[in-house]
Amino acid sequence: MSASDVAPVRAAYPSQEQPRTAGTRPRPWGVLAALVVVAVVTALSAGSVRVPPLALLGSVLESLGWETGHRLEPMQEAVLLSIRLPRVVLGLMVGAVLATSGAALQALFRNPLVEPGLLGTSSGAALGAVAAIVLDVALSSRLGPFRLLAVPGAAFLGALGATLLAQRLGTGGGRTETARILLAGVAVSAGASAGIGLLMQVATDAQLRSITFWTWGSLGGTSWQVVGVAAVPLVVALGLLLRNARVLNLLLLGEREAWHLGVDVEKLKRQLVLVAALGVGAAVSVTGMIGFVGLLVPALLRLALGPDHRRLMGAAALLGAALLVTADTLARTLATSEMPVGALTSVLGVPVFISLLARRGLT
Amino acid sequence: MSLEVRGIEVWRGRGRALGPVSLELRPGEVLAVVGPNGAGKSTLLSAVCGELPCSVGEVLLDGRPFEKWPHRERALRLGVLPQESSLGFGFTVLEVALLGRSPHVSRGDGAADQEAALGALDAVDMRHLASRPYTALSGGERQRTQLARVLAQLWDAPAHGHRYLLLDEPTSSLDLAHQHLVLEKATRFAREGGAVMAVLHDLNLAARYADRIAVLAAGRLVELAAPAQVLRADLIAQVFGLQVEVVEWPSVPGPFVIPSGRASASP
Repeated sequence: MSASDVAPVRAAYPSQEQPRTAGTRPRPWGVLAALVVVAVVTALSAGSVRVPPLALLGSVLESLGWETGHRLEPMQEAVLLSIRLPRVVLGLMVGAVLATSGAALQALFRNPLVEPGLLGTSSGAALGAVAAIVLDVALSSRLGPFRLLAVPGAAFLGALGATLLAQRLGTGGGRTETARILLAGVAVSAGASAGIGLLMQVATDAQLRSITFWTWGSLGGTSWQVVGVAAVPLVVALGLLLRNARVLNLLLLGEREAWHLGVDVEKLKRQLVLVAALGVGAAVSVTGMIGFVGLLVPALLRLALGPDHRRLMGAAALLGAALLVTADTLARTLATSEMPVGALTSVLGVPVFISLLARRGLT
Repeated sequence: MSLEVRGIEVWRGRGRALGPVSLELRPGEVLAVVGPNGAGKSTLLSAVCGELPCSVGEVLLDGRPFEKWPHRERALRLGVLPQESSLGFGFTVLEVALLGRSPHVSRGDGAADQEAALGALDAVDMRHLASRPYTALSGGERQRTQLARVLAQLWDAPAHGHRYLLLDEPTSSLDLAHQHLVLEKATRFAREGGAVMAVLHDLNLAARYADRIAVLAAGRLVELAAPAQVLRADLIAQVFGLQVEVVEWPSVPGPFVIPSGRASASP
């Protein structure tokens, strides 16, 4: 008698249903693309100088050579092209990068609660920016035309430096241990916060206001110059993160399991941490700290689409972009003075997040 | 062509956790590794599959040291089922099995991958649960799903060389029937030209399904031979510290081990 003769007795199961895989899960692309379009059109239309969506569409078609009869007034055109459009473009890129970095780091650490901030990236950026703001007077005379980039540049260096330090501390004997690198990130963050606290002691009142606003994040005052400089690291990071989507699925199985499935895990871990630092560092350095996008967007999408990163990463980019542009539109239209967009993403995010947590868990 | 373990030792600090061990896992055979808790069975498996660097000695996969294998090429030949896997994300059972196909050319997206994954799920009696989220499964069902993932990985033979399946306690969470089902499939995998090395606790399962049994105690290889030669009352008493009787049962292949005396805490 062989074991196959004793095949386990099973209760009758419902007739062969189609096994559920990625192919049978809901397809998100139409809905997400529509959300992005709505967010962008609303962002371009709303504000103290109103540009009705129809006029907006008409003028776009008009500039493509169609006769629509819609033409923007010079005032509207100036506001659109030099104020709102760069802001929207930056919001799209930053939102996409924050959300995909969050999703990638959550896969890397196999923990849905990990955020780019946990690696020390955000607080390192904050320390760099605050240092630049406080030292502004001393530096600005020498920097000339690059003065505009002094704060973002310092923030970016701070982000990369802090992440590299955390990674260095988290690597022992040639292997990056995930628990160890998280603890290192916490330590680096605490150190950076202490540095910020000390620098704020010597800051002037005006500098303090600028620091406070910056630590809550803002897309205000975005120029094409800033967009152009930030676009390079943001787009590179986004591209690399999206390209690694398939391998992230294997990391969810565990590092050993991924290695046995042919993944060079150590190399992948180093790359992912650096790419996330590049993207998040670039994002934080131009917009300040914008919380919750990296946590909320992947969590929502995992519930709706399942954990397959081949869909999750692209979807996170789209939803993150739409969410940040929408939050920014609200930030500049809800009140007479502009609100910090990081506060708004948190205000939007926290209730949704808590209800998700209470109802279904995050995985 | 085999998985050849050449005098490996694993040192932790100043203590030797394993070795020296030399053995050869040959295509076509099922090799069971038995021994008391802490004897180094899992350490041996980790060292043999390349997870754990050996302090001394080397492991050759089809004649080549591990470091010389490109990652994906290695993954087409060697599959490992760890003792426990923590997958906390809600892939379906079929999606988990398909992840095993990622070293292959089609990366898990082709019709052949679907076929291999479903075949592997069939083999471990999980196909009827293919659409269930992994997180909703029982411990035994998770273990069978992970095994299906490894079976899907090694579903077809590579162009050159052989397939090696390393299992760390593959039956630990399984009910009686599924223990036998899983080892039956492992045996079939070996008969089709693969090689299986399995850490087992149940000596009777080892006796029935293994071609050879390796006995480990305190990090050393005490015995490596056919079940009838290894499963002797004196050896088991010495290694496990338990009095047993070894009998033959007419309808069951292999010797049968029945505990007869009281267990002493440490051998």
